[in-house]
Amino acid sequence: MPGLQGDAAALGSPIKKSKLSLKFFQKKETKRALDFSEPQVEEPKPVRVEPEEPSSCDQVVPIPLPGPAPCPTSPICPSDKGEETLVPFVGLNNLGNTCYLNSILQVLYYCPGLRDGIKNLYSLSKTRDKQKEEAANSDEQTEGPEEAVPVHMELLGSFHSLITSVEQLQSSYLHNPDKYSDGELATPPRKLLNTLRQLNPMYEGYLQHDAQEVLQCILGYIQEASETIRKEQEDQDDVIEVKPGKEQAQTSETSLDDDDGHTSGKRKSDTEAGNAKKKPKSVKSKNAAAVAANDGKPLTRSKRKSTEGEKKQEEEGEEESNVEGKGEGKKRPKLCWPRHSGKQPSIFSKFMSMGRISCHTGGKTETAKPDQEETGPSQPQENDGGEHGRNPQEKVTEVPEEEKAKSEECLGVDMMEHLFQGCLVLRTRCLECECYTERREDFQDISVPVQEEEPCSPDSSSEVSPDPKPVLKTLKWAISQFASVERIVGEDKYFCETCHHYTEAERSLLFDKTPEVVTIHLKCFSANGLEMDPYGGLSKVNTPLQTPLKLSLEEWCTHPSATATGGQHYQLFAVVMHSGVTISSGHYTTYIRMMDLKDTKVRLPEGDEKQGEEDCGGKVPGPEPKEEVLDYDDGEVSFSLRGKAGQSGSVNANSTNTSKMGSKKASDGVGLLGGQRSLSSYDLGGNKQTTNPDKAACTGVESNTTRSSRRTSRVKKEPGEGEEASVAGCEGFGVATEQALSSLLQYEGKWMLFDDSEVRLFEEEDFLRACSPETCSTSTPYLLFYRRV
Amino acid sequence: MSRIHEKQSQSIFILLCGSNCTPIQFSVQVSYVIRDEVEKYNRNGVNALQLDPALNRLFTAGRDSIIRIWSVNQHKDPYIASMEHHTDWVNDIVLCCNGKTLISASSDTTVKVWNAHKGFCMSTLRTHKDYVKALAYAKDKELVASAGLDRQIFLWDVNTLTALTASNNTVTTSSLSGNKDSIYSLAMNQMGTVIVSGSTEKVLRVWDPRTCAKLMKLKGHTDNVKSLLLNRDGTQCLSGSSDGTIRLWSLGQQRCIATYRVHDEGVWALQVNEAFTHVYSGGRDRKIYCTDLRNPELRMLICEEKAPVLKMELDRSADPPTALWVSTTKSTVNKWSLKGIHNFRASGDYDNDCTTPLTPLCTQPEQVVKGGASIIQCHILNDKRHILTKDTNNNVAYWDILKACKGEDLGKMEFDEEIKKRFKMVYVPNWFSVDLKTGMLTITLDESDCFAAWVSAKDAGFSSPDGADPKCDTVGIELSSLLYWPRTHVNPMDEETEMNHGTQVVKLSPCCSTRPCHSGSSTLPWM
Repeated sequence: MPGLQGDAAALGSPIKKSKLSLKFFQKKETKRALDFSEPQVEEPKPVRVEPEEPSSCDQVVPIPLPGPAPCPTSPICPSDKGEETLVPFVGLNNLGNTCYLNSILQVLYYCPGLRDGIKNLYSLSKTRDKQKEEAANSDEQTEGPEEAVPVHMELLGSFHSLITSVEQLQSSYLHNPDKYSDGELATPPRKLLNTLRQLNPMYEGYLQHDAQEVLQCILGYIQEASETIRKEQEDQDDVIEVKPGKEQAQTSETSLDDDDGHTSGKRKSDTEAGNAKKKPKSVKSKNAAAVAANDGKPLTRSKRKSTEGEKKQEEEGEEESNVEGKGEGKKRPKLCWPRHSGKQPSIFSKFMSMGRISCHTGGKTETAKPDQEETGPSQPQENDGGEHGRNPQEKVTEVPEEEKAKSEECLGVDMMEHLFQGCLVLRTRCLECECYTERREDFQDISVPVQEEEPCSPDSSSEVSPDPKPVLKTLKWAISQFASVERIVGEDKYFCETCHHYTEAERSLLFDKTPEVVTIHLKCFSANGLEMDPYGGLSKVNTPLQTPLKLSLEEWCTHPSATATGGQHYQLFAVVMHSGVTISSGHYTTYIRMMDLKDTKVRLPEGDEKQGEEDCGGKVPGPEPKEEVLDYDDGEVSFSLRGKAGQSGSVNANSTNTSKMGSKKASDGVGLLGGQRSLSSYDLGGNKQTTNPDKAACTGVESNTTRSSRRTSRVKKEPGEGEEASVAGCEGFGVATEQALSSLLQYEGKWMLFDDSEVRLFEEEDFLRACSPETCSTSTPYLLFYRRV
Repeated sequence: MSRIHEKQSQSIFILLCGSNCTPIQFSVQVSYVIRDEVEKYNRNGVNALQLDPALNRLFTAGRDSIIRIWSVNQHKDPYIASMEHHTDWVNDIVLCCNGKTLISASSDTTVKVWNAHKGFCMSTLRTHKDYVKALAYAKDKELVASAGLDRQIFLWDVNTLTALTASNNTVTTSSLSGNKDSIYSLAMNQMGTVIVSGSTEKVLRVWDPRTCAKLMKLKGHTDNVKSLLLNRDGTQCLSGSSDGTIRLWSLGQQRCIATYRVHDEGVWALQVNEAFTHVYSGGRDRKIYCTDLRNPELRMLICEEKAPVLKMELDRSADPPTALWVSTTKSTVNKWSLKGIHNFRASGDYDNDCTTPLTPLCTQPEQVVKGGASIIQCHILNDKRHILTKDTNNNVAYWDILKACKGEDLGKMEFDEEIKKRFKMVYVPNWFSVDLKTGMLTITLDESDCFAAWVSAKDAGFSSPDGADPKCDTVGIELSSLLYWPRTHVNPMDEETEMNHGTQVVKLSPCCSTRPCHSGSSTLPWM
């Protein structure tokens, strides 16, 4: 926290502002500035502040108001800039101690492949719904969830809408940064929160919760949703094929619904890409559909009915009723939680009992599944190639939607597993005959200890120094604690089936399959002593663990490097930090490393034009700013604050340009964004990747200048990496997009701190410092997210 | 009633054991083995071998808990005698005092001292608290060391042990502690100056048995060390490990001076010639190699066994050794001739290319000590009275536990089919448990649940002469048949009380009295 940059101050909560007095803010700010280590409990107020307009669109784009004078809290800020700059990344407003949720949502948003997966899934679900109810009239975003949809589907919907609004916000900011100059770039995750509360009453009220639990919870629900969708698909495939006519109608509706603005732009490109990809499959599905079409109707109806019935129930009742109400494919309505917990005891129970290892298997399993990320597999792995598939917006304008969807779904089945689910092998080897038996279990995250547990220390191998604070523990150590070899000896020997005798045995836990994203949960909270009240008693272990930027799981894999996916090398892309003393208090923030920004689609606020443009551009990102988190190269994009400052002039020019370019967009943007502000210095600078900070600065400046010139000319293409080609076709829009994108690209490889609505830039070193054990504040890493390299 | 009597072939061992697992909570277990009176063949794998060159006898320590004595010269029917006292796997044996005394270590946690010539047990050492896995012997000093999974090493003076009598039964022993993990192998040099232990700790620990001082730790192996050898003066050590390597260590330099990767899997057994120049190794990959320690390129595949090799014993009657006895996890013990190897060696025509598959020197063993079948699968039928078993020859048998005898030999057949066929729709609570660790049927009655089941005397096929008590608890019948009770009118209450005092067994069944059983709890008067 100490590392905050100037930006931070600016981030203060814009939304709140409208209703809150300046005083309030200032207080808050001051507080933060003074004491970062202190758990910042966000006042519940903000939540209320936001008028509840869940129905229309939960994601209200916050109106950037002039924030209170930001206190430059960031002496550490590498750039030394007192000025605060808005960073083109969207924060999430705190709705009353919801930092646990916000931090997780941010990670998920930037999680490679997940966003697209969600979209895909969502579109699928929409499609289904429509099919069921021929005349589905609801808005996907808003209404979708309200419909008969099971609650977990609702969650999917609200998550999707959140993503959409974030993207929207981002793109609008990128296109017209001036608007937000002083304000915050943030959106409240209200709808999602509401859904979550509906699903799990635990999250009602304004208590602080465990980020990891929320993560599992959300992933679990999404998983359920995807399973539901898959089931429905299967049902449909078996029994019903929707008539083509229907489909079309549906599709069109869908498309309408989906595009609340941004989406529309994407469509075409997506569609195209998607089609291209899936053609073979889609064709098949078409045929099938056609064949089945006639017969299918009745069935559909029946389904529909049931759905409707369910809907009613849902509407009437609360979550529970909803849950139960969903017949058909949407079973597993219940909270995923119980399941997780139920599962856990399995393989790992033993380890857990020993206090060494806990693995939340259950959650994983659920999460891992299928459909979420339909496009997913390709995405995580490759930045470039995956793109078409990536933003498969579901709402394809054309009839083929369905087919596409189907094919996608099929593809998607593996996706979820791909992304989050790994497989652990518990291998037990008899020391007598040296035969071994294996048991496999899926996992979703790895819980590792932060501290040596006193009782079990001796077994590892030797004289562990008895010092209370021994050598700094590394993550590697922690994982090896998790995966270490355990001997089954003494009185409780292992019964070997081969020897027919009780023998000594060795039990080791290995990774059989590793997911694209490895979530490591540092067990920072321990129940100390007898005072275990359910929440407050969990005190925090602040012993820090050294957090490496790169991680290799090779040594704990069953077949090292033989894995199909390639190496077991991972790169850190997100860290959820917890500051505070207990689990029930404190504050969560998230560091995320921006990656694959070039894949981001920058959408102009307006749908129509974009569409056209996008078509031209092909898959090239339209004006929407979506960042794909897939990252790869660590090349750092130079980012210089100074450059920005210098550019202010140019910025203005830009803004004008932008407005000109897409008048429609502009209007949209205005509507969405509310008041506009002049851009604070913001560097649109080139995307050059410079490792050297010094150089970066220069580069930034240069690029800026370049860019500004370009902007004026409008016609020119951005120097930006791959996008020029695509841009070529496009008109002014394209340029704008490029510009926006390029400005975004500056952040490639940078670490951003998401502290609720605040988003700040962190240089890697600062980030490392923040995470490092030496900075022994109460702020410590809690969840680590690694992605496969 | 007198099943046992009638079927002389069936004798039963009764072992009363105070459970050693829960020392605090006293519970009584009775276990017995249903077997032939004379088990002439090894029923399970053979863990250890010893040759008595003077009498040309071979001692085998079986997983069936029996140490058998074989006459090497008798090819047809080599069986001489059994030494039966252990109640669990016998893991190692050493022959001391020029073949007069045999010491054995067992998974029943005891070390026993036997008169090897006459085959009776002279004393039992109960200092270990877990399986005793390995023994080592220093010929020059008549010193024996035992080590086991309890991480302890005890030193025994054999002369003291053999002098033990009922009245003078205290032994002093020195222990070598310091091992952090279960010990699986042990070696002492002939002069008794160095002792080495191998354990799952993966390091070799070296002591001086005279002072009990730790000398060193030798690191290098990456897995359990299962076999160890020392040369005569204790300057060099050979170790075989589950990591598949054989290592040669110089104790003087305290380091590994050579690593031999001969086997594909764990090395479980080693033998070396007197001169310490050629090592014979066997292990999980079932192959037996002879490797020249000075020139590891020179290695020979001697033979390939049919199961993982557990132990080898060189026939040292001549130098170079002429034969190698090999025991495996199967019950058969083979003697492989090494004569060919010498010709081979003399010709100097070694196979220098380790990459090409070697052809074994011998394809047929020179001599075979036949083994019997061991039971590898069993199923307790629903009536909790009958058991179906399958042995290594795929023979299925049907046993009556109440009568403690084999009911039927069903021959080779589908085991699962038979289980279905004999399924009865009844519920009887569990009152006994079965284990197959010895390859024979071992029934264990636990105090806590063995009185759970009742049966009418009539159904059980016992008619009590006085016509009373149509209902008996199964254990009563059980014990009565075991013990050849004169009448079956067992009063369960009596039974119970007696059980609790652990005395009743003393009333003897002929078979028990003929073969007093020393293992188990010492509360029995005759122990």
